[in-house]
Amino acid sequence: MRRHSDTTQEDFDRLLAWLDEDRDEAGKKYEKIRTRLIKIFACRGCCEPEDLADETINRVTARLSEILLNYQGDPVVYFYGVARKVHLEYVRRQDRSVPEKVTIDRNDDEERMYECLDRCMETLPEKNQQFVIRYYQDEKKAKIDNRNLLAAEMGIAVNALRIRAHRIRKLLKECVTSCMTNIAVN
Amino acid sequence: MSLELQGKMRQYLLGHVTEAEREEVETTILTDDKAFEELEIVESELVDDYLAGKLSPAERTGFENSFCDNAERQQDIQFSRVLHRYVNAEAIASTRQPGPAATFWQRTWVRPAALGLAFVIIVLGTVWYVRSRREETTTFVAATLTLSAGNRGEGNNSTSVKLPSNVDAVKLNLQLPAPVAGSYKIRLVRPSGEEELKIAGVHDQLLTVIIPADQISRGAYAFKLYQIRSDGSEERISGSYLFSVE
Repeated sequence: MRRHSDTTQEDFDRLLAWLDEDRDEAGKKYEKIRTRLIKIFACRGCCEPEDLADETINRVTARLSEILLNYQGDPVVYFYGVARKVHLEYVRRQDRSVPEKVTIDRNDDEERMYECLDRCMETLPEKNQQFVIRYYQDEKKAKIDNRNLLAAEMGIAVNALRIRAHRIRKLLKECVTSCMTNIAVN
Repeated sequence: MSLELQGKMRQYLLGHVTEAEREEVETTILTDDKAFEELEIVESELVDDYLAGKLSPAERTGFENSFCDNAERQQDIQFSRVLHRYVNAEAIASTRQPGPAATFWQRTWVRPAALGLAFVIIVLGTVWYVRSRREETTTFVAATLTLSAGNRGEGNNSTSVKLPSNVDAVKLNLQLPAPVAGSYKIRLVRPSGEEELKIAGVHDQLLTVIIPADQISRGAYAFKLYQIRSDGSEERISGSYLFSVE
């Protein structure tokens, strides 16, 4: 669980207590809110979604005494209201400045990523390795037929197949990100 | 998760929603775990469709405007490209694995066929050896290009190739978007016009083109790839391979 650097431990504890009486549950809720705020800012085309999510949380934390007195309802809804204001301010700032274009060294990064993916695939159980290859291979109609067949073989609905593929893909991506960070550090 | 919600999320990710629809989707993903996971799934599928050239022009524009602005999303696109490259390579490798050896060799037609195949391999091996010896005398600068949705003028997707004065040619390996199927034709788009180039080889989902150094100068280039079907008709593969020579 990450605490914003401008927030004191006492403020952060109060925030967690507002989210849930149980501290472990509160921690999970905090992470969930932060992850989803990051996603929302990214979906709104923001260049630094993590910073904006932290800014949102920071503002909510700073107003907590007032919120506890005057607000009754799901904390998530309150966070969302603040996030919209933070986004509005971000858009105004962007109108005045030239956005920085994100560039990635494609060739080098992709070769490293390929190596990492190869290593990460090895960490998956054999059946999941085969599943990934079968799920993502082929193109267009062949892909749809292939996925229908795969779902039928596994005795699950196509939507359940999508969820399964997504969860494995997410694990792989986390593994690849961690592998690339290790390569960069070393 | 309903198809309606999937469609709504897709439109949300492409930026094709009203403010009210956007708030509805965002409130849903903040409060509903399944909806949030569905958004992530639709997002991955959208990236895959974008890279496979399966988006309509309007969707493509929406994707490029609302999807490519931060580093994490660039990495999502990169990850998808690498994942599909890996999966296609693995799928090809697995189809080449031989069956059980004993039962295979017991078949009556196998041994004469194997002798014939061995002869062909020796002849091809000799030809390959002679050619590769000849190729060793040429110095190359090499680069691998991946299919991009952009145009020649859009430098951000372009691979830059440094061409020192002491090399004889540029060797470009084009990563095919799908396993090798049929034959291909390649056209080089230069600032001065287009021309068809000879393909040096197609191997392991890589198509190789060699351009003599004296036939290419500094500037932005693109390759257009065409697939030749068995009936002789050709189909342009969506996207271009962008590169610049420095």
